[in-house]
Amino acid sequence: MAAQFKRIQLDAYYSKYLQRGRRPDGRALDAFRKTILNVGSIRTADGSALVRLGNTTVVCGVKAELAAPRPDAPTKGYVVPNVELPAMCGPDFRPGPPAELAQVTSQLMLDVVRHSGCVSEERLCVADGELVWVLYCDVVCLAYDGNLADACVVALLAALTNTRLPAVTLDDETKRERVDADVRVPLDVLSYPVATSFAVVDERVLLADPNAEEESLATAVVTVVTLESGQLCIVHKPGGSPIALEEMERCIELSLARAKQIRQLEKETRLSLER
Amino acid sequence: MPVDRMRICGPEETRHPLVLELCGRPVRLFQDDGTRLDGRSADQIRPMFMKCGVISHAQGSAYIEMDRTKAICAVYGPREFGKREDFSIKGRLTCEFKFATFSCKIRRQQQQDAEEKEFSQILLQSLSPAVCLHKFPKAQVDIYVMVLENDGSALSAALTCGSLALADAGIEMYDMVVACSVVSVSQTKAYSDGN
Repeated sequence: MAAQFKRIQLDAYYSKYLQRGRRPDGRALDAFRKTILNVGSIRTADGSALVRLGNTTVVCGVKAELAAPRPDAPTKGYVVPNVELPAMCGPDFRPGPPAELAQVTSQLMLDVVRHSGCVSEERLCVADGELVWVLYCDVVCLAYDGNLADACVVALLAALTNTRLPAVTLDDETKRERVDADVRVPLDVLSYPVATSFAVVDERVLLADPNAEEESLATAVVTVVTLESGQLCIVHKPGGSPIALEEMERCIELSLARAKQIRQLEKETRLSLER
Repeated sequence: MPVDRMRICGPEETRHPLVLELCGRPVRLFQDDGTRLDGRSADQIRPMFMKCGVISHAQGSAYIEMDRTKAICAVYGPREFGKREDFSIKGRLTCEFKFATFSCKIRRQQQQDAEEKEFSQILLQSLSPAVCLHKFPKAQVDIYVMVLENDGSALSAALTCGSLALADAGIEMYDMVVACSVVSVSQTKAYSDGN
């Protein structure tokens, strides 16, 4: 009976739960799903991370390659993030060119990398004007159940922290690079941004970490990215219904608390790997 | 290479730092006592791990690890045909095989290349005979396989994974399909499950 009601009138079904301050999956309105992080499992990548946020599963692999820098930025390397939503991740995705959600999330990843300063492009330079590193950070969603942005940012940062680059020097005379594959230098990650997303349902109710069902009902989705210093890095709210200022402040407060949890999780995962 | 406007692009030409080493250096494959570098004999396969039901929204899914080679598969269907076509007594199977860009030593492209298309065809030819296609007329079953790490025998891992995912989806089959690769390195010997 409840299952039929849910299929026919999803919004009324949700309203009944939200009135009592709970969601159908049992969470409180500001609660996050169980987050699992695993780093360094893909050895072909220079750095990798797997994140499960509830049922949403994403894998990030970092591959480092060498290239000539842009003529207008001879001392800067490249960080190229991309998010892929293959057909396997959900029944609504089909094979072919990247879906709109993938393109939007890729752009958000690029903004996170640029504006948080997590990786310094100058430190990716091997030889000024001649040779720089290009970090291809590909995030693949294996299972989609809402809140892609949060999972992708966690995966991206964990993979970058896990990245080890081979030592490369450029021979001045021959202009050929010399690569020492046995020496691996950890990548310097200068800051650790964390994203937290919220969905507005019923035009008033704010839900943290929305799953796919909640996203389908949402009238607006907002993503807040914060840094360790407690500073706000990005607020991403592409249209949708308006959010009151007090609610926005509550979002930021929740984001800061959540960010601490994620950084703690990443630290514990990294230390357990080193043991 | 035309500029891909739908993705964030890096510089036009990049190269893997170890590309000269990977292509040039002769590789030793065997130890002095004749066993392979990882201690296996010629016909020994690597330890495996398999799990079903890893992707919640798919009808069926499976994950396989053959030592370091990792593959994941999702099955959707039976669902309606992608394109409206004439009535067909038999159901249809589509397979898509993809290497993740970070799965191989040298980074792969995001679009499916010729090798992946060939593997998709091989997957289709291998899995179709095992599925009772007449049980879902006018419908299609989509199989999507992605290799997350390629340490050899990726196609066999993908095939076995695909078969497991089909079973997990409850698609009626005549039998399970399993695969194993064999590599020949000299005139006289063949080695199974090459890494």
